[in-house]
Amino acid sequence: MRRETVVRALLRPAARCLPWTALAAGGGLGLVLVAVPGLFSPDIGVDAVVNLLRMAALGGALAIAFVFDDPARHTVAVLPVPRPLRQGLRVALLLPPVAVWWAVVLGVAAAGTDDVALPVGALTGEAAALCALAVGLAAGAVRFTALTAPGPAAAGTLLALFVAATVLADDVPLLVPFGDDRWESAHRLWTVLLLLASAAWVVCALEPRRRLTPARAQPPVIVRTGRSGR
Amino acid sequence: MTVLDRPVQAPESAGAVRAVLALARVEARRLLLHPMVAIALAGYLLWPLWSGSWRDTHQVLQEVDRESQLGPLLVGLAGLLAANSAVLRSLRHGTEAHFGVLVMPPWRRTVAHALSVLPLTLVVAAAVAGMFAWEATRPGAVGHASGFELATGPLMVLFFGVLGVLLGRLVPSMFAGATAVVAILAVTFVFAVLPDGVRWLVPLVADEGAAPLPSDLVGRPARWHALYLVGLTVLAGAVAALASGGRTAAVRATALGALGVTVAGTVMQVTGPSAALVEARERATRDPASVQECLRRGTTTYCAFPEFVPWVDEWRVVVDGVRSLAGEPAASRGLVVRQRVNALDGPSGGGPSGIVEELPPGPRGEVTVSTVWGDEGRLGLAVSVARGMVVDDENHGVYCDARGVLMMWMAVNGAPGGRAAFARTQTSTLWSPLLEIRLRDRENAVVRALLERPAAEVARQVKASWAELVRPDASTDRVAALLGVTAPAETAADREWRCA
Amino acid sequence: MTHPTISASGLSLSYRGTRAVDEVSLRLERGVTGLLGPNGAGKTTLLRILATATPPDRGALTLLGHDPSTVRGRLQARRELGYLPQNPGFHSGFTAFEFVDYVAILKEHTDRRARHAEVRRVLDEVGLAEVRGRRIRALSGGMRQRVALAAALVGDPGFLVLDEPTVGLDPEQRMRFRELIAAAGEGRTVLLSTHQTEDVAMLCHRVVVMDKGRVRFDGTPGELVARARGRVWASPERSPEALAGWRTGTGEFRNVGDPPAGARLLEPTLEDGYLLTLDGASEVTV
Repeated sequence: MRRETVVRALLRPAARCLPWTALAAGGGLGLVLVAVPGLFSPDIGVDAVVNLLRMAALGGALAIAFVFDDPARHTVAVLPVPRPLRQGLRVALLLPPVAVWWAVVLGVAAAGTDDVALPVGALTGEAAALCALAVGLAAGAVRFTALTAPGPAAAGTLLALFVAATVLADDVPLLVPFGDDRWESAHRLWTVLLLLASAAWVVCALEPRRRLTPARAQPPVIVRTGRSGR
Repeated sequence: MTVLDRPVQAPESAGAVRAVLALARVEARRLLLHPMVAIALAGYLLWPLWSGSWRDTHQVLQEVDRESQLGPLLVGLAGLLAANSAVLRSLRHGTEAHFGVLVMPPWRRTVAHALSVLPLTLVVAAAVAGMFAWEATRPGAVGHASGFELATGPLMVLFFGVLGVLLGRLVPSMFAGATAVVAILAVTFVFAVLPDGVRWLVPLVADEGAAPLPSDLVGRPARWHALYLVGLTVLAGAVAALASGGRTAAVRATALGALGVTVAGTVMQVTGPSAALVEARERATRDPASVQECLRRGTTTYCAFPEFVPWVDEWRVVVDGVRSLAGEPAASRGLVVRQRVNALDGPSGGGPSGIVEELPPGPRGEVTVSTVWGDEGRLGLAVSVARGMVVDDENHGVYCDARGVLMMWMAVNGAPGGRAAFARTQTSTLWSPLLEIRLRDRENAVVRALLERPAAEVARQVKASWAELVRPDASTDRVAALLGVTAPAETAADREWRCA
Repeated sequence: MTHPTISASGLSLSYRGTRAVDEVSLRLERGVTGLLGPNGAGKTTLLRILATATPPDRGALTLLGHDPSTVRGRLQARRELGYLPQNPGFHSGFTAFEFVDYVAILKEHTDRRARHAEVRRVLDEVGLAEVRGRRIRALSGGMRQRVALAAALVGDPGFLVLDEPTVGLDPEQRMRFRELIAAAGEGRTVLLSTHQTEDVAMLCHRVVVMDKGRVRFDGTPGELVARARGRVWASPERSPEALAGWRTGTGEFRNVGDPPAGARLLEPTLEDGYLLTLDGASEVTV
């Protein structure tokens, strides 16, 4: 009962802490990208539209990587509300607008490509896995570093992984063209990725009972936004 | 009145310039060591080793030059993120309050950040040059590279780095850099199919897929694209300096000049191919003989676009190999091997690698070789020659009889490494430059059975029965019986084919 | 009497209708001057004006003979200025040496060899020679503060502006820091803003008290103490007349304010003088 009250009371402040600017930028970029074919060249082909949707999903996921950025992290860390609840609340607050945004992106993409059936379900799976990966990476950064802003590191890693998956498309069949023989197996892989990333988030969200690396014990007083500028 | 007579530093402007260079040097080192850049550089440099492409031979240099651009694109994107993060560093760590009262004004710091991308650019330029030199000295390299195509990769690195600096000065969040990377990836890889005018506004225009063209037919506006990138880079740097308070006349003039260069580059690169180039492409496609050099080797004449003449002796090995399997009179009949290419749409047209799509068949007595060489090219030429020996036409169609079996067997046995290549493929299709030999399951089974038998013995039997085997009414059962294997029954799928 | 190295007259700066600095006139000579004042008194704003970080709305300023209202003058002044801002930031991935070297470059020390020697010199001076190769994120708070001081000392500036440099330091570190500041004050002009009256008492030959953007006191520490002479007394209970009063370790109350007749007077401290200055509608003594 008490927890419920706490959650309800936390809703508004938690919502205000979310990276709305990044989400607006990433989401806006995604919308612009998928709107281009409709505006300029409707015969761009289903393959290109699938890739555009992947780029849009990546833009959204990069914004989501900033979800756990919290300048007050070291103050909040010692409060009785546990980390899984705080992080869960942030993600839960993010889900509805992100879902609506994705639906709009799909709608715009579908409207721009005349009479071609887009693999909506499969692409939604890919987008979900990318978002889960973003959350997992951010949670990992929170779990294993003292960063107050794990967003840039998580977003950078996500971007690097995506580019690596593009370059190594033959070895790691994730970003396969629509209609490819490996489409089915690729999407099983995406599902596995989604589950793994979600599991990683859960594991990282739990607060450790014991320090992993005592050598890192630094008074977080002057640890500002964290790591080096490099 | 000066009370403390402390030594004032060297003449102001010289000191300021030297300080900018000193800062650029420190930032350049940090940029090169940034994890993202270091990983991207390592990946770029190791990729040829990992993929095995360092062993590739018979490179066409007018293709190699533009293939050198993809790696630098990725390094450049890493550079964009790193430079952006470096510009935002003092904001992120709250040192702006201190740095704001130091001697060097913010706009000079911006200039130093922009300059700090130069060493990374030079590293990439050295890598591009090294890789190109390697490929150009590999056996069988032909053609002519464009210096401007080779310069495009390093110029992209510079542009992206400076763009990262500009974004850092305009948007005080590292998210802008990540967004820019996604946008660049999207426009580069997804909008590659846009019409010519728009396409060239993107930093990298890949033009993949078509068979290599003779270098004088490529017609990419690489020179103007390089100018466009230089203009954009300087413009981004100047705007970044303006945005951080460097509103001096020199910076304004630089910005205006860069804008002019960018516009000039943009206009020149989207004008499209000249009438002369269109005509030259037309001629090379429809009437290649008028621009080719021909060499006679034995009973075969080889006609190639001048740049590709060095390959003639390697073609000859394949042609003679296939010829030696044929019986008389085909074995000593005169033959023209002609190189053909579809240049009508420039480097972005045409079909998959090595296939000259939509070209009309050549005249009788002529077989086609493409502008691709290497293992695939060998088998393709072998297919062309085998077809010329057996049916002497380049019309489409599936041969559901002895001729199909014979062509396939000759092609596979005639080309060096052909048996291994055929064993690896599960399909029953071999591609020749102009069209493919496709077999039904039944004929395919016969060919594979023949390959189990000793090649020399089969070759003797082929020569002995040549006249009968090349007759249009020789059945698959007949060829199987003559060459000592059994043919399986027709399958349901086999009956679907329309036989020639 | 030395020549003033810094002189300001009628400096004013408003933020959103509030006068953060209001008609401040100051003349500073060589040696350490302390700037005292409550939070929000305008100390940091005044320091930022004197450090050329913010131009004033009104008023004239001469720094070491340069007029910072001109581009050239500001540049000259910045060449001879050291500034340790409130909450100095650090590029935590840099080593102490790299960070101070970075600052040296931004101060346009261009000769690499000479610059590195200078960076080593200032790091030695603040006692960080041992740890100059360590990353700043691995240094303690006191060491970081010393890195900031080293950065301010690069180039041997003639005017040093220190904004609350001893905040967050433990007593031993603060003592060590005072040593450093006192050493830095030899031969140059140092303006030190602080909440620690002890710092002022021990370091400064002169003290300026600010409140609500105005200078309330300007004189020697002794003169500030003298203001409280006869206005600090002991009593068994908190005196109703006292502006401030607290029970000390001896069990008696120490009162500051206007004593009743016959009160047992105590020896005043600088802090007493400071408190009384802030309270009284005191006139500016220059």
